[in-house]
Amino acid sequence: MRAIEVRNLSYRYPGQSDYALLDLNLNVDEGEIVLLTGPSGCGKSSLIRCINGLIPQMYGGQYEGEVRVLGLNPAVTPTRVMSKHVGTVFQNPDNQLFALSVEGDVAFSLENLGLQRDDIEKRVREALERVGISELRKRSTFELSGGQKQKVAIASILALSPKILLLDEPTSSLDPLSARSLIETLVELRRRDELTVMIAEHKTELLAPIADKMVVMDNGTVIDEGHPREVIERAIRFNYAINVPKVSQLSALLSEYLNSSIYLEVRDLVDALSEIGCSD
Amino acid sequence: MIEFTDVHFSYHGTIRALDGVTFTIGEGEIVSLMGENGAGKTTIIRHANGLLKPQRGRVVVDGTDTKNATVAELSRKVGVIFQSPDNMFFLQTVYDEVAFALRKFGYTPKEVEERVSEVLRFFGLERYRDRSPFTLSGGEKKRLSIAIVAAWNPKYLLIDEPTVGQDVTYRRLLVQLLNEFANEGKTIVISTHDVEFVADLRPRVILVSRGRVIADGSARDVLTDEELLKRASLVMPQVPQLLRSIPKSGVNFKLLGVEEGAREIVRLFSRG
Amino acid sequence: MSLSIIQGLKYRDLGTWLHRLDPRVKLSISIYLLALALLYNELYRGILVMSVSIICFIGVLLSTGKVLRPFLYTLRGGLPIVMLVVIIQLLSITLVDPSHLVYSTVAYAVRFIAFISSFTLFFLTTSPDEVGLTLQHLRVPPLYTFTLVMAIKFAPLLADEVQMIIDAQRSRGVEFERGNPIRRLRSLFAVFIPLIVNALRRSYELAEALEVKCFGANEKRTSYRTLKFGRRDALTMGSATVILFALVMVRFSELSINVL
Repeated sequence: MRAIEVRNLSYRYPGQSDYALLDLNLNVDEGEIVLLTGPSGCGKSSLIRCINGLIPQMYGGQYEGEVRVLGLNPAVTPTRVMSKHVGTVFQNPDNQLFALSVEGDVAFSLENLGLQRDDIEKRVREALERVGISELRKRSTFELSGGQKQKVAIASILALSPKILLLDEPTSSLDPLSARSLIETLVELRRRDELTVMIAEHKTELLAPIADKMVVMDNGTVIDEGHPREVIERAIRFNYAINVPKVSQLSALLSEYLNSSIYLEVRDLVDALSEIGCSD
Repeated sequence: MIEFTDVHFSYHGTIRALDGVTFTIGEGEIVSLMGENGAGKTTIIRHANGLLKPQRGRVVVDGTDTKNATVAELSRKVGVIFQSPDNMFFLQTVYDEVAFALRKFGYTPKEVEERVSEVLRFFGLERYRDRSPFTLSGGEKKRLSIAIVAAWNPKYLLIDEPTVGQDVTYRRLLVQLLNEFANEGKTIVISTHDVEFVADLRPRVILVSRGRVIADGSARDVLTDEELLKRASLVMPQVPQLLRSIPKSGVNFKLLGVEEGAREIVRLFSRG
Repeated sequence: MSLSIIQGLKYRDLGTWLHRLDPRVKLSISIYLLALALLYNELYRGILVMSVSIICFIGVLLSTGKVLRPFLYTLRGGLPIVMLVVIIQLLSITLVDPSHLVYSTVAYAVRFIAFISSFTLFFLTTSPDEVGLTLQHLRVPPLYTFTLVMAIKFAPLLADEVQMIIDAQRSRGVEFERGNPIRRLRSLFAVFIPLIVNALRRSYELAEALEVKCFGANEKRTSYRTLKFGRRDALTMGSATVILFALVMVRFSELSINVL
């Protein structure tokens, strides 16, 4: 089934003459991990806001086209209803945590919905378990690292049990190991539960290997989409302004040995090389 | 020359940030301070132009102990650019932002005009000359923040986390800019945990962990040393990672570039 | 530097008995102490003795809760306001009754310090979340409670930000400690403008995050954590009330007139 369907979407922020999104079309199936990438200012964040309904509901502006998310129209469905289906994690963890303790933060949205205490308790426990941070439960968010804070932000969104998780550059302020750990958490989440994940990111070397689909945007529209391997292959050929993992660049240089295959992960390229005789 | 000798520093008397840091950076070098968040990179940079003074030990820039000079005096030589460009801008136009320090440092109006034009051209920002800095895109703001400091031609340029949140176009431009600066004889210091960027830039690497220098050497040596990177909570760049994993003897894995990596693999094939 | 004061105020759960005490008890004791400071009005000696006792009492109490240092920071931060009180007092009393000039001024200044001190008991040992819960129990509407909690939570982050802006500006030649007043005022712009721009952006980001977390979705916001009023809380509250009562009795009996 379709999780997200975007048809001929164009959008301008209030008071802007340039289009942030221009005639954009996109389909995302349920259960996919989608990597959304493209140069800064290409419209990734705007697209995410159109999927969760913050555009046009909070931002206003000029909106044309149609978006369907699990059958709902985010342009008219109240955000509090949308939030139970689509969760959004933003870039800066400090600006999306509102309580002082980890459990307080995870409970925050549930309290806002007026749920009963037993129900909140159960959901908080489950959400922390799903993200693998149960041991942080009683800690104060002040003393957490950036990566831990971002995991708390994910748990607090998962507490609402959405079917779709949107993440807008979630690793941009994290150091490499924390970023990697965050991505592993997402993969694990999707493996265990039926969850559709869409991540806007520059770090393709982290995400291309785990994504089912890669979408490249430029100037407010989708310029390429498909399996990450194919997209990366075209990115090298047509020189898209996106980050191409070094392993993939390397496999392109070795195309005559590798039968023109492009690899996304170090491990896979090593295996391919050993197979064709590059081993003792 | 920038000399750190056994520098100790704690924030608010409690949070230990530097725990005996010693290194020397000579003229015309490109150096990358590397380590995870909280390792002490930014604290080191804050010491270079005297924003922080060592609680123990000494920081000496071109023979001047930073304890005996003001930040303004030190800044003439040591230009420091922090991560967030938005913390810098407060004037009406891009031109004014670049001209601000020049006027302050006593350039004549004619010199100001010439230098600002030259710098804006160098950074590809001429067409924004009369625009408000707040209307620029993320990458353009980053460029402007470097331009503002580069304008008065400091001998040393220290840039904190220059690649965070930046796209590939900006990263390529930055490698080019930093190399041009180095060619002009400037000393460049960047702090970053971005190993692939450092693999492209190939500077000297000073590895920092928990407020101590744990390694100091060429990017080629440091970024291919599994043990060191582990201690610094960093990840090895992909090219040496790949070369190291090839199950064949005699692989030279101390290579960072994609081309040289590919050449090494071709060599292994031709060897049979 | 003034910013370290805010840093010192950053709440940390140190787990002492004072931190674990029900916030309502702490708030009540804070109010008791405030009331005690107001007990003597005309008697300067009474004001002085009572205020000094209160300050010492709070000092001892807070040191058992390991927050003596933030307490001293707070007092230092309050000094400018104390100076203001002194000036106003000097001006007003000179017109009325110059004979007690020094005595009364000192008394009022010390009493003002006692005022500040009395509330540090509550704020230094109560987490912003608990402050919010307490207010919620007192039927303060959620929006106001939330605003206050956010203000407490973001104060340290804002202080960090101010420090980063000052660093960035000093690194580009802005000098805050030199030049004539007009120059200095201008360099303040270098801090205020980035601060406002950042605050605007932050408020947008917060609004987005609040929106997706259903803030204000339900008029009856529930609360996951509740305050538990235990035996220890009851004992503390009881003894505090008895002591307050006793002191009030003393004040209005013959005794105080004889002593003071």
